[in-house]
Amino acid sequence: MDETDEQLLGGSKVGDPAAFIELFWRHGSAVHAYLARRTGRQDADDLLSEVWLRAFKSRTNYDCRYADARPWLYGIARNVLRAHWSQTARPLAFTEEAVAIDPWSDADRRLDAAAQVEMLRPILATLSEDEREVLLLVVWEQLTPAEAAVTLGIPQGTARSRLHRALSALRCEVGADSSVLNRLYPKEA
Amino acid sequence: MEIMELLQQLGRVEPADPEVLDRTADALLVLAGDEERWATAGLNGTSGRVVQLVQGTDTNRGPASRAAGRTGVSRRRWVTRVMAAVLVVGAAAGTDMLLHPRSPAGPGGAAAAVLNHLALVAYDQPATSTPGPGQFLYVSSTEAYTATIAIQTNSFTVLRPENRQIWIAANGSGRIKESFGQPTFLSAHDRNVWEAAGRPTIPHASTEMSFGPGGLANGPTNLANLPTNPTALAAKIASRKIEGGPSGSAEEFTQVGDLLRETDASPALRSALYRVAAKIPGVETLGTVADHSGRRGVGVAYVHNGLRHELIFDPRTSALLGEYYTVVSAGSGYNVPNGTVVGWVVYLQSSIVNALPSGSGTPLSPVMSATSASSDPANQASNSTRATSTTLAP
Repeated sequence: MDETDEQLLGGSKVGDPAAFIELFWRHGSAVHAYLARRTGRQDADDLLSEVWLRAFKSRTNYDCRYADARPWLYGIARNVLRAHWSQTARPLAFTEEAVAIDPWSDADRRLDAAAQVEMLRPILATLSEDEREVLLLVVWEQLTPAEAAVTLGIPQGTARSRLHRALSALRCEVGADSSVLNRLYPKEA
Repeated sequence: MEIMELLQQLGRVEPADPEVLDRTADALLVLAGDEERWATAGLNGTSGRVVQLVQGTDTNRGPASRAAGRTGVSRRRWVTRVMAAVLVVGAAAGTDMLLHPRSPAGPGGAAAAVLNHLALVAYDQPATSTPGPGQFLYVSSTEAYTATIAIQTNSFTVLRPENRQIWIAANGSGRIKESFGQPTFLSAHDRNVWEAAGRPTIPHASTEMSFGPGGLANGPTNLANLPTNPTALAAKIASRKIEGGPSGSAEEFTQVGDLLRETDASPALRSALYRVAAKIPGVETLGTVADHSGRRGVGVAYVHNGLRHELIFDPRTSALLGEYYTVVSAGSGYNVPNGTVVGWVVYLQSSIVNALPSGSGTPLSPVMSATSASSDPANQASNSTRATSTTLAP
């Protein structure tokens, strides 16, 4: 049976580098995707190492109550991104300015779908940063609201209310039906 | 199409390039492995072996040449001058085993990962003390550089160890004291030339030079004005508005080194300097290496004209521990086997002190007061490599 992330991190804490490398192979791609979605593939390539070196350095801060290290890793990635943006003053990838360098435009995407996706960018930009972060962690990174709270370092209740507000705003703008809301906002214990 | 799908489509990305993942895994292995070795060896990176040096006579490095440069700049430009004076006889074949313990990497590679890590460490360091009125930044180091002595139509080169102390005030005034140890011949050829010339006394005087305001240009005043935004700092270095100098990546690397050594650069500036270095094309990492006193650190290097300039940092404080200049290929200007060390520095202490050493006052222009003592000529040939480090006379 595979070790949990927590067990791997416990191993790396006591000086087993292989355990941390294993954690990297487990979640390296996910962290890269997190970065690429928000800042583009090129910058993600550049920033990936920094996230992981930072994670390695701060691995003793990992809260062992969580078996999945991804929320913790995304939190580190988020800090790296913020530092990166503060230095480069580069726009977020989902704002309109970034469309020209949009790295994930699929060549085979249907034109009408593409147009709809593009419509979403300005709507996302109208959300507050707090709301948008929770929403995208849930939709893009497939985290639960509780896990998103870990990433953002906020209480679970706050994460849930932010997600709710984000979805309400989107529903107003796009006319999302309630089934979407139910899927994005799963009932959790 | 409903909003859920639209959102997910907006977040669709190509999987990471396996090469990118490999690179990060390599960097993690280097650091994780290093940390483990550091922990198990109980090395703390702070206890340098202090090398005792003998006093000598006359120097062949006049005060004018020192005073004309900057504290850091003159140090490395001096190496360049010596190189120019040496006859290039031909490319020497030699061992390559010391040259690349780890594979080189371009920007964004392992070297960048190491430097970006150092940038994080640097940023977390406590604020640097800067000299107040009447105070000085004091840095002591042991080091060795080559000196070429012309004998009629021939010349020979020795590696001269020295003990260097520098005091820098906030206004750039200060003092440099240097005393020299027993030189060693760079190669058997150099020794032969020296013997054929009748074994002349090799000059090595203790020197003490005082500098007026602004004389030590990399002093605190100038550093405080540098941007700590890596992009802005890189642009300023690239524009050569800090030091001047030729264009090119080698010079970028040199200037990063200049701003790190014998300075009181703030944690933010040091952090920015590492990030600048991380983006210099051609910078490579050497993994864990030891400085000349045996302290272990992480090495990054740049090879230019056959000479590898290596900076060694304490991975836990990001402090500059030491430096090496090593011949690694043809074109260095030295007629020595690859792997020969032609310069090294070990930084021993950096602190704020309240006074200059007792002795001469502070003249307006650089002067030198040399203390003369008899010295024996160098009597040993040394093919100085990392494996056989130069032994200093007691």
